[in-house]
Amino acid sequence: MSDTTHAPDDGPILIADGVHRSFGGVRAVDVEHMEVERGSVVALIGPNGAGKTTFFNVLTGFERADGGTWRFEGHDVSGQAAYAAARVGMVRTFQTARVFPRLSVLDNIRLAAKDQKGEHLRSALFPWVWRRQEAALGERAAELGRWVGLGDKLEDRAGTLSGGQRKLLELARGVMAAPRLLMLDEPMAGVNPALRQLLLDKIRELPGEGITVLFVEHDMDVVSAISDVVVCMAEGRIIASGTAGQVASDPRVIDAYLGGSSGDLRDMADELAPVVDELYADGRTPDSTDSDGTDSDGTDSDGARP
Amino acid sequence: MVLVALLALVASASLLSSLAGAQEPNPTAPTTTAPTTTAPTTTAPGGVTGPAITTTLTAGKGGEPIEGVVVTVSRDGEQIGRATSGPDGTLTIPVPESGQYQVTLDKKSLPDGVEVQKGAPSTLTPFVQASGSLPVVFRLTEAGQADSGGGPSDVERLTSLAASGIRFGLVIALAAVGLSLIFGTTGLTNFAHGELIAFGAIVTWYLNAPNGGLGLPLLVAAVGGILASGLFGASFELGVYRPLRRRGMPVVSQMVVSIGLAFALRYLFSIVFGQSPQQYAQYAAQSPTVSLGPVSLRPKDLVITAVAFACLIAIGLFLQRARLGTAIRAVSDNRDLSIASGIDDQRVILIVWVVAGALAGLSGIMLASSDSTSWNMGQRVLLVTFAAVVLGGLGTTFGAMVGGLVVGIVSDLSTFWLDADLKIVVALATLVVVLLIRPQGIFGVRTRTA
Amino acid sequence: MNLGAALVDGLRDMVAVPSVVYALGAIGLNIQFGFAGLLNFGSVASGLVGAYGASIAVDQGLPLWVGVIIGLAAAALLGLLLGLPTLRLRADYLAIATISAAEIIRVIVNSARLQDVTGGPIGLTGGADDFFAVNPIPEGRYGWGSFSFNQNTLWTILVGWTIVIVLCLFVWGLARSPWGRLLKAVREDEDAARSLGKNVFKLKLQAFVLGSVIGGIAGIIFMFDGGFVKPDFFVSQTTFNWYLVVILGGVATVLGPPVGAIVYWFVISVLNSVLTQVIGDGWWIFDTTDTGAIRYVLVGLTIVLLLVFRPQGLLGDKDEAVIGE
Repeated sequence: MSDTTHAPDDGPILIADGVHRSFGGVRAVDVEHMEVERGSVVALIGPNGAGKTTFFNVLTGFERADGGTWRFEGHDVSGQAAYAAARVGMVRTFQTARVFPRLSVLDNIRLAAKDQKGEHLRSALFPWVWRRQEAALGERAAELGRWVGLGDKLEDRAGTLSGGQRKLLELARGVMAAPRLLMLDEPMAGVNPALRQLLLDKIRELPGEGITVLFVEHDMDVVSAISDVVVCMAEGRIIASGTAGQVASDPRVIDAYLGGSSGDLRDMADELAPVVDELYADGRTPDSTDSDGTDSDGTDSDGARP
Repeated sequence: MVLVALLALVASASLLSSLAGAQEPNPTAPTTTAPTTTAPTTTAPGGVTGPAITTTLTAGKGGEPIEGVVVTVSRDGEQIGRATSGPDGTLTIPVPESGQYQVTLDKKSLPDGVEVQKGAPSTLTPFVQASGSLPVVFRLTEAGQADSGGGPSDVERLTSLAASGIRFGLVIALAAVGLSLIFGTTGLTNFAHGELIAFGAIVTWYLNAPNGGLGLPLLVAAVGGILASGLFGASFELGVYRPLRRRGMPVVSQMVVSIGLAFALRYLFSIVFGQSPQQYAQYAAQSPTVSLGPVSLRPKDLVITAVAFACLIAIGLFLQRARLGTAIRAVSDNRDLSIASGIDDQRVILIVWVVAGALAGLSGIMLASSDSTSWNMGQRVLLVTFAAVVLGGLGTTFGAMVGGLVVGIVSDLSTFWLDADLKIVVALATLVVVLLIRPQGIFGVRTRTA
Repeated sequence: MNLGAALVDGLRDMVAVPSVVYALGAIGLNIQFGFAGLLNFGSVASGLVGAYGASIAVDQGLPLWVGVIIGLAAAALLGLLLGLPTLRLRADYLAIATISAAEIIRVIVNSARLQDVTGGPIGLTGGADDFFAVNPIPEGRYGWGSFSFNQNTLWTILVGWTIVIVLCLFVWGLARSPWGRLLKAVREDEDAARSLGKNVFKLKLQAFVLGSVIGGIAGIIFMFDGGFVKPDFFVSQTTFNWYLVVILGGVATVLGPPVGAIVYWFVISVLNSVLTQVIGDGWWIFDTTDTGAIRYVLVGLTIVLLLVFRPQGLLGDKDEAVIGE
């Protein structure tokens, strides 16, 4: 696939209609309509279990949809295999960074390049066919590695990187795959504050390179710092979209996060109650369990009001 | 650490065999019956025996040996050797060197009512290697077997095949349930499960056999065998798999470990137990059959079917109702959640291994009662057990039961139309087809992958 | 005890045809299990199909070179037919499906019904006649004492090891290419590779078929040893011997399979000689028929111990050990 677009350069890059997916009777994803503007940075937020990651998985072919269509660059790509979705330009990352631990950082990035001649079995044994391309890709990969601040780690095995560095590597690798739309699943999860700003800056630079960004995030600071548009999901549906300020003050969103209508957090609290009781009975304090539960709504109310 | 289980086994086995006193030295096992039993010697270089041709002549459903049949070996028209089959139906004719020979069965020497199967040759031309004896097979049949006039009717044959299929299926299901529980709680597909099956049968034989064993009544011996295989299952978990899980070994590697373990144990059995199949004492004799409508069964088969069925019901109820059963299901469903709710998953897994070992042992004892005990009996049914588990859906207990029944009935019924040696093909083909069409099994549920 | 004789036996068997067959089978398996991470528990089936494809073709009157092509095509087809539906399955299902398929094929070939075509349990002879006919080595025995081969065995050994060397070069070339890098990446994280637009399934299928064809070559070389094929070589024990060879040599290394095969046969053969001498007519609980069984007990234990204590095998790099923790 070449980098030339076969679609008009204006209009939304991604349009999804009626996409739904159920697990055992529960509608995990039920999106009636969603658009991603070309050249924008779009944040997808929502409480735990809202279906954000499942929606990502469905769009990128990692999970089957029960129904619905989605068009990318004007082409119907609904239900395509994961690798095919990536080839047309929808490249995604994962919630916990997935690198190839036994490959070097450089090879991790280089691997992502499209149309590698040496990746065909028929030419693999003839280095003269692919050697020149390999060298050029190596230079580009090194450049991207330096771009995310991993310049001095290029020869190290990716398995030796810290969690935050892996996130950076994933970003460089994603860019190497020459996407039109880069879909980042919680790009800040597990990244220490020192690397956060770097990562934010890099993501902000992407639209300038012709890459549209759609990302899932919990941290409202991050969301309001870099996104043009915020879309909020709850119980599989899209309940609000607009600027960060608009969405954060939307009563439906506040409801969803505080459990007013969704019951999501209440369910979770009910589920955890016996466990917490038991921990109490053992004489331990319950403060280790609450960080997960309160994290999202705590930051939500702080960061939502500009 | 890994060795512990094996050493314990060697020790107990050698103890048993010394208790047994002067056990008869094993005659070289006739290797014509099942090709798999020849494995230890086929690829061994530089064997000690000179070249020879051997055959075992049997006919009829039970494979009764035929005595007094004359077979000659010739080369380029010149007779080289000649022998008459003994009471066990075997005969061996030495040949001078490697090469191609004609082996001819003298049809006139066959007893009345036995003939060479239609279309099968009475002269074979095998190629003999420089060392070792080469088994050849003549296909004999009891005359009139093909005519429907004298024998049982098609309906009778089908119903009795179905009955034996149900029995085999239930017995396999016992082992399959354990295999499935282990998979459910640990994610491991235990390729050494066949050895748990054989272990139960073999221990029971040592407890039961009057010559070479303790001579206990079969029922008592069986209880001992089941207990021993439960402990054996526990030693798998404590000696092998738990330490491996602690080391963080990937499941795929654990499966390869289970293969290695199966290999070592199986051939250890062949050394300790010997290569010839043995029968349990009280069931060695043929007893009159019991008729149930159109089906006639040997009483022991009836007992086996009933006991297997009762055990499966009991294990089903145990999993549904008992506290421990609920804990096992919880660990299978969601290990993290069950740990969080206070279940000691390591203890549950250990119990699962004990239960799985005991069930596999019981299944082995039943297989040995209706046929015979042998060192590689576990290997022979391992794939069928897998078939049962996969058919029902890996990790679902009820599925394993139904899977066992389906595999047993389908494969036994297939012998109505196909040769008996293709039975296993039918069972495995069922498995492969299910894997291709519905990999989650009949009762498995597709799970969320995220 | 005569240790010298045992050592000579070991040296002979480490270069003899069975060692070649194991090296080839392990090279094929290493591509599937080692490089691609595919748990093929039925890899001996490709050897069976290769050997029988060639033998049946010759038996029906075709020249051997056509038979070899047919055998290898059959092995490739087997890889394709088995791989297409099974490579999407989880590792354990793949293992069960492949071991079952291998067993199905062996039992069918072994069936007396097919005696006219496959020779049933007796097998087929004469498949290698054309190969021996082009043997340039004059008739005679070569070597010293029991370390010696007749002209046909020597010819098979020479051709066999040449093929092993060529295939090692082939695997080396593949492993250092971007194709090999991609295979390595897929083994580490399939989903990540998919997310980068890599057709993981196609890659696995290529590796599976490639391994199957090399297994087919192993089967054909097996047929050249003695000039016949029999179903009972192709039992699942052989597959697991190949696993031991791969793990012993070093999973996902280029030279692991031949090194593993050589070490395997040397140890097994010396052991066999020593055991035969020690046990003789019986010792403790052992009798003469047990030497083969003891060897398999050791094979099984070695698989376990290697995986636990030295997953990288003889040649692998500890950090690269793909089957360890």
